[in-house]
Amino acid sequence: MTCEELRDEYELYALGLSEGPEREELAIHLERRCPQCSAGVATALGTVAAMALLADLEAPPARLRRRVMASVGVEPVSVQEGRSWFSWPMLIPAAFALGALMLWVESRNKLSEKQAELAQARSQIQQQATELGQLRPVLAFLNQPDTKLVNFGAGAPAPPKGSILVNPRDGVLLMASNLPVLPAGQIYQMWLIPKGGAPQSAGLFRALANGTALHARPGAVGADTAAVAVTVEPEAGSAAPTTTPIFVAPVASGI
Amino acid sequence: MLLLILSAILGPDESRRLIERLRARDAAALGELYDRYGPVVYSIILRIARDRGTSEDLTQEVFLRVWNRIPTFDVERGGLSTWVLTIARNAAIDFLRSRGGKQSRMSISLDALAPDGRQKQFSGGNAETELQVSMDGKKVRAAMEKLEPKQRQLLELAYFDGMSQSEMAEKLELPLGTVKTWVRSALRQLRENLQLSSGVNA
Repeated sequence: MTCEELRDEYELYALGLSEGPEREELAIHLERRCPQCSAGVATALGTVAAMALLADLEAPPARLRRRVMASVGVEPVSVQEGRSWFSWPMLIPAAFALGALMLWVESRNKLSEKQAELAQARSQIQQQATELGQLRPVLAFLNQPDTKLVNFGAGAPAPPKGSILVNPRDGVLLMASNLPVLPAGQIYQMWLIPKGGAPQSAGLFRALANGTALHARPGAVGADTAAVAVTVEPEAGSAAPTTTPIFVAPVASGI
Repeated sequence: MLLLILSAILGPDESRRLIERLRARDAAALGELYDRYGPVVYSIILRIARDRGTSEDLTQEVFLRVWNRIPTFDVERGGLSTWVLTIARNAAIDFLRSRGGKQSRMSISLDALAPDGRQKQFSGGNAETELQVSMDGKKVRAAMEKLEPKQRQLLELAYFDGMSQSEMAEKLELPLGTVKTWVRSALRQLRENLQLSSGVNA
């Protein structure tokens, strides 16, 4: 097909609607660096991108800017600015305080001990929160009567270990250790896996140099959530898992 | 609110300087990028994902992607605003389809465009791209309102709901051929309307 015949395909391509032989033909033109089609698609992307301005503009919450900056390690986020009860970047300063908790949590894996663990976790976090004055939202999460504790990695030969706290209203808090520090260009991504459904991204995180990580995904957790998993993904994250999970923690009886 | 949109407009020189600073890992430049595009990015994601918490998470991911991919972004291939808004829409639509258990079919990327060796040959087209995206919402709405209601509906279903032409045909109970014809004509007309309102010749 000629470039002129593909002209109407540019916007369809930019909108994700191009299909069939026309799409393949256009892909060939783009692949061989056809100047006319490349310019046409560039212009079409602009036309389509302009449609973004049809959305009613809403000012994002002020805390989002801090979250964005914190995600590239620029600016810490204070607890008070976290979304609802917390947001994960705010937990970075608290990660050090929770290190002891994580080491303690990872050593206990039996389901029968869950409640005792939770109680002790509350106690330890209370002490740390007093010292740092930054853990109140996390404590509130742990104190929710319907927050569940799920351990993972028990008995594995070279395990990432830790615990996941799941609250149906407030979200998921992952505390892990023994995580390999990833090379540049890779990042950990947490997923919520609904029963019979596709994994849903629950955010990106990195491990500290000592292999520990603390990551939270605030917000309601679907009642059909069957498991929480973590995969290694490209640094920008993925829409769906692209690698085998380094662990999958079943949420035994759903949320 | 219009000021928020207008504040997102970057002249070519300003855009290049911002890109250079981002490539130099100047964190303040990321803050400036967010200040200019954050409201538009958040708003489009909110319109697509329809959940404030998710929109915050995805907006954060969009700017992280921009930060990580800026070394490979070539300003000659397309405008910075086009690139950022395309990443934002892709992220939101991918989320939408992932939540619905559907395979992502959004793979539109400026990476598909011509690389360095040919870039100078179509720089004019890219200036046009940036100009179109830089228009304010009022002009885009006016361009959309010139379309037939059904055409407008199709474009919005495709853009904000990520629907394929088959899905739109099923939803609107229209023959697939009709949808394809209307979508093509709507896109052609939208392109012309936007070019007219921005004074750009086709």
